[in-house]
Amino acid sequence: MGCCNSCFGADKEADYAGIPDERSRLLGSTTRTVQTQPVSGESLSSPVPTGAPPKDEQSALTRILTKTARNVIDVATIEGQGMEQHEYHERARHYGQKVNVVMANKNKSLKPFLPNGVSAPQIVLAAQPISVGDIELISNAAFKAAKAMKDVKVQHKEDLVVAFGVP
Amino acid sequence: MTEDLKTYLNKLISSVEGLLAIVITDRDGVPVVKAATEQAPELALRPNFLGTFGMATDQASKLNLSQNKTITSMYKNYQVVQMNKSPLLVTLIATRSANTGLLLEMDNYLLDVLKDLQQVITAS
Repeated sequence: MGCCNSCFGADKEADYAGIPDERSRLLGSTTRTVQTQPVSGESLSSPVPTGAPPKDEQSALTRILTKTARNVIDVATIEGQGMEQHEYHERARHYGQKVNVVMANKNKSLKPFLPNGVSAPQIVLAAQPISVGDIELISNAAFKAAKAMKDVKVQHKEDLVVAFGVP
Repeated sequence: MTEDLKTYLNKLISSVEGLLAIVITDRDGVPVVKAATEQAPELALRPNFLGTFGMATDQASKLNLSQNKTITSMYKNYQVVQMNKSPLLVTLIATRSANTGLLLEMDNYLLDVLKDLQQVITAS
């Protein structure tokens, strides 16, 4: 009797009621939306073609498959993708020629940059050197600060974590 | 003209202590330009080694952490910094004691060169 159930239109009833069950299509939401739209003159004149839903489903499936294949981390593909020796040499030679052409067209010569930390080196280089007195002052100050830091001692008076609002 | 480029790369190599080689390759590890000192390990200059990064960076880009930019590999005696500069790959081979931060900064000095070399790949 169960096999006859669908023949007698049980599915149609479920579809009509809009209740999703195990047989309702997961990818057919677009077509369902079209069916639930109010009937107007325009929709009557251009009905939805009957061949569209399977095509949409197919393209959606293909899209999902492609996306999944792209997202899968497949380490096995890394192995065994070697290149023929002659192909490697051929390509290297080809690149060599191309590099020659590209570099020949380049007007400005390549020169190593100065380190990024110095944006205006002429100002740094032209500045007056620091006096010995200043260096001594800073050295003494740093020495005293370091000594003071060493002398800092923590005296335990009360607990750092205090129970707050607990009866 | 390629000599100028190699001279420039050699100057860059000498500017970072411990840097042994700079290799710019395509995605398959075929070198477009290569500059190396005598101390550079020959095995690390082979296309099998260089090309593996192309695929590794593609796979590492699928970890939902956006596109992978560099991979640094530390070995017993060497370190290898590889940069994804699609369609090019940059491989820096250095001694283990070389300053990795300086190696990662090298791409700033290679920007101009990479821009020119991209034409080589795209035109092919």
